[in-house]
Amino acid sequence: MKRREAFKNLSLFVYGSLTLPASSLLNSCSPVSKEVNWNPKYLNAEEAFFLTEISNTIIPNTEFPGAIAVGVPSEIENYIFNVFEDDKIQSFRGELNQLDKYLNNLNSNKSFYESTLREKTKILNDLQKNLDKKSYREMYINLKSTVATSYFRSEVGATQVLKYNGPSVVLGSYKGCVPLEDVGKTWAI
Amino acid sequence: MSINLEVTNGESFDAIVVGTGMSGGWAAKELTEKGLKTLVLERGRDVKHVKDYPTMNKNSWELPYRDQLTAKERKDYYVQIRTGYTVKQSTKHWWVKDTEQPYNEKKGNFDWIRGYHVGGRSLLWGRQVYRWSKIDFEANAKEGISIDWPIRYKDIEKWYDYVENFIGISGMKEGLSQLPDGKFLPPMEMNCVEKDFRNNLLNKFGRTYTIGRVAHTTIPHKGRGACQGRNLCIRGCPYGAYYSSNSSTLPAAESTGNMKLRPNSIVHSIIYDDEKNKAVGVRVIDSETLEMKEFFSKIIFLNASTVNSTLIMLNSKSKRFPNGFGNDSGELGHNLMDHHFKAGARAKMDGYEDSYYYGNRPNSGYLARFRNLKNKEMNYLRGFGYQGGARRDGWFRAAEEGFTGQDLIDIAIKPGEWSMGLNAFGEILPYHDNKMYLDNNSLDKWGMPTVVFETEIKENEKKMREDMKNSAAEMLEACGFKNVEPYDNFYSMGNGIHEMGTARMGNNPKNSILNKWNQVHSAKNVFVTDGSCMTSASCVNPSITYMALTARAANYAVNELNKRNL
Repeated sequence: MKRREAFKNLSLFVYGSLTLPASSLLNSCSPVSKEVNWNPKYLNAEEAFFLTEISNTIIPNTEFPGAIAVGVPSEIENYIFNVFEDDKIQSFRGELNQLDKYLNNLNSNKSFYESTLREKTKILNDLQKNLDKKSYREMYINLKSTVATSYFRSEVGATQVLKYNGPSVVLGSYKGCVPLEDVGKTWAI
Repeated sequence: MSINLEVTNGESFDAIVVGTGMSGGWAAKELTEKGLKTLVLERGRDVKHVKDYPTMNKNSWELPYRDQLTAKERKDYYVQIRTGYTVKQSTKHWWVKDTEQPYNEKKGNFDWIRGYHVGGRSLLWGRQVYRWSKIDFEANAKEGISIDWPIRYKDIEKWYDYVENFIGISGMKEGLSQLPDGKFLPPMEMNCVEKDFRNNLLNKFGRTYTIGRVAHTTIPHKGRGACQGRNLCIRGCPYGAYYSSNSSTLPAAESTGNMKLRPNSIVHSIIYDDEKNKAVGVRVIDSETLEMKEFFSKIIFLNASTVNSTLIMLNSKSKRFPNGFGNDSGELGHNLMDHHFKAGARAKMDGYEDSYYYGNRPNSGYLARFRNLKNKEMNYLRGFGYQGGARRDGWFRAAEEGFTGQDLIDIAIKPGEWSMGLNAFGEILPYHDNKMYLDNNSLDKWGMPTVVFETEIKENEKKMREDMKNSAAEMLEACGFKNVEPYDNFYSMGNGIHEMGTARMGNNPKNSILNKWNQVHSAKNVFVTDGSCMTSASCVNPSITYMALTARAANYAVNELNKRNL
């Protein structure tokens, strides 16, 4: 735990507000409240807020409850900080902070946070299409994968969005070759 | 901790069975059904069918950490996690903590993957069931490798029938001499791409890709339910739809009224009476109280698993057996084998976009051995078979292929491309210097010596791996697949979890431990019928052969007892 605390402090110093470019401070005429609707245990306030914002942009509410509604950010935090080795935790945080800085400084007039959901979506999709930004793109796809995994393992994702084949449904015997329309959607597992 | 060496004089039984796993369950069933009062010893805790499967109905969102071990937990299971698939949040209660059960690897890695509880690895196995064939039993003699098996296929054939009829094997008859047909329940179905591959492979190569033969009840069978396509077998099956001792043989033994099951009983050694010139019982350490107890019987079946049965024998020293029980030949602990795998190929297939499968099949396909069937035709001996099947890419592709929001969901809910993998399982030859022995200076927490392994695969296996990889790629390529990727991933001995051979059968007491009835040559009332008895390894999954040999040996043992020969 002590080591994790140390990383927390380290990342505050390296990636936190102390190193934010002056421009972003100057241009933040209406400071964004960085409160989240969950209780981060390991991430600092900035990291937790960024994770929440990007999760909400990757999977917002559609006809189904989105990433925030199903608790994706806290699940990701709990997963990463317990399952990853310390060096992997550090690189996850490093990437989170780099992406945060990159996305919030793309437009000197308006940070990522100040953008509408529609604008945020465009920013992320543009990054995904931009093969010149290889390392930011890769960081984004990695983060997106963990958001998607968290979402599709959740009860909403697995049972409402996908076709659930876990133990709470009894499917009966396996059939090897059926028309796709008989199943309808991708199996959750 | 130290053991209380004050021995309590225990009860006497007709038979003692050491171990409750794959073969121990069979020994218990056969001996009790034949009327023998039988003590069944298990070193781990008790596990009752269904009642003690705590995770069998857990959904993905009910399992913490995406069902993975935490970094802290991985330290406790540092060997058990080497498989990459066995230890999860949903299964961690089945595996030993390596920090509590250490052993030593002196040369090469030996991945000793174990679960200590009633049922043992019969709860956790891959459930693939393939009979050995004539060529497997004859290969050593024909090639002058190691020693000859003391039995042939015809000696075990009816015991395969017998065991299969009881446990329930689903599969398809193919009429192959190298993969004999058995007593099958209806086969599981292949999916469209697998059917396509089966037909193409037969036409282009004359080789057989069949549905996996598995110990699953595809229809209700002897009081057990039919498989419901959950593929959560390793957590324990609420339907009892795959064979485990817990669901099948132990209840049968229990119902005779002749079984006394004693969990938490670590067998320390076999008691040899130098005056009577025979084994008379076993010494047991109670794993909870650390008391040493003795139990006596007319016959003993060792079914503690290959390494543990050998450990017990090596630890059983007497005036008659100064080098370990039955070890006049010095072969005890030698000739350790496994199946080498993790070489093959994977590929994609276009088309079949409107086809899918329904449910989760706890099985794949099996591509039967095709090398060196009649004569040596390759630059190596023996052969391999492939396990593998086809499936469509799932939602995971959406993060890379989709954008955000509705677009990501639209891609996630549409199944992706078909892909297929073939993973070979190859035979490892018996090498005298692949071995285990005991370190008497390093004791475990119960005071038992720890095991040391020295193992490696050699030239024959390495050459075979090349072929395992290249042949898979060649077949997939020729059968219409694209993006074919051959692979040869790191394999270390033990990783196949098919360890065998350390107390081998043979005709000659000078170079083997057991005779053709699995009796210790020099102590005829002790039978060893787990994987340690194997004289060679074949390339097919071994459990059904252990079960058949156990039923055969139990039948022989009771006949001999009745004739007062033991």
